[in-house]
Amino acid sequence: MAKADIEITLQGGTDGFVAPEYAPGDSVSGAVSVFPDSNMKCQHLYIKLAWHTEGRGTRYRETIEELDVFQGELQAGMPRSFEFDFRVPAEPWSFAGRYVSVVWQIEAQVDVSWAKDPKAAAPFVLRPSATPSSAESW
Amino acid sequence: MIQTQNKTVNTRQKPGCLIGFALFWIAFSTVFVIICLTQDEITFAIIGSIFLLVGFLLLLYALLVMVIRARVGTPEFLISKETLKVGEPFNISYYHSFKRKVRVNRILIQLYFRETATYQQGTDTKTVRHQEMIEEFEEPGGDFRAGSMIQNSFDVQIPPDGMHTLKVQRNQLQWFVKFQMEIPRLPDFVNEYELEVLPALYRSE
Repeated sequence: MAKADIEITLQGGTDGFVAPEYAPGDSVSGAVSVFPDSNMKCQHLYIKLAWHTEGRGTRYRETIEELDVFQGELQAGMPRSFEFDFRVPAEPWSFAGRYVSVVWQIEAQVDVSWAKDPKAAAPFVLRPSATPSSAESW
Repeated sequence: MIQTQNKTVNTRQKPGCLIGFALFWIAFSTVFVIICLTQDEITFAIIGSIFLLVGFLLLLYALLVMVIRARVGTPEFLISKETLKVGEPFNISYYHSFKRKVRVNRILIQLYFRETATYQQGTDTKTVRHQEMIEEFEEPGGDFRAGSMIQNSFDVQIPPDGMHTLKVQRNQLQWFVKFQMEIPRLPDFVNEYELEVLPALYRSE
């Protein structure tokens, strides 16, 4: 069984209570680090900018942008790191309600054949700031 | 000021549909009771009679709602802007002329935010809703003669930390203004108006 630890680090934004906060139009950049436990043939390494709903309702999901950053062999004990840079759209904003929540996250997935794909996700908050900045026009 | 008259996207009370449903219910229950009686199945006939009674109660309720609409009429409702931004203030005003003499207990105007979530539970599709009252205005009632008029105006605001309108499959976040007139011994007259709140922050000039 393919096994790898995946770590996602986010840069930019402002430190939030729960997760880093970004405003619409901001750049969400960072790196995905993969730590394979065993040798594996990686068909694709996807890094995605996506949001989904959570709560009582059936989950709705949208992938805004997807990068295929690597295809090849991952060697056990040899970590690899891949950078990404996405621009977040205007909507929807992050929201936490009683029955419906909107969650944004950066997702990383290693596509391996005949095995469960190792995955990881790093959530962040998308919400305009109260005070306008030069990058903001919302 | 832009008038959004008759911007009734969703009216809670639809007496025509309810009358149709009640008549169908009554017809089905009547056939069931007749069949039971012809087959000497008294117990099932009694059960069918209960369903028949429910049908008549539904019909009575629907007719009462139609009576209210005939007596009260439909108020003119004005919202100063069709689409709003988060944090934006706006104005709600209404005016109404009564067609007939009617007593009103009170009038409520509410701005609220609603979450709607739909999910599957086995073969059933279930929907849950949660409403958060943002602002509420209460007007005293009274005895109104035919031709008398009521009107008022309120300044409200979408909260600056609020959420914009979102409608995706099985999950909705919506804003509504509700106008409710309580009439003694009759169902309330209720009209709901949906607002479109954009994913943008309002900044005063």
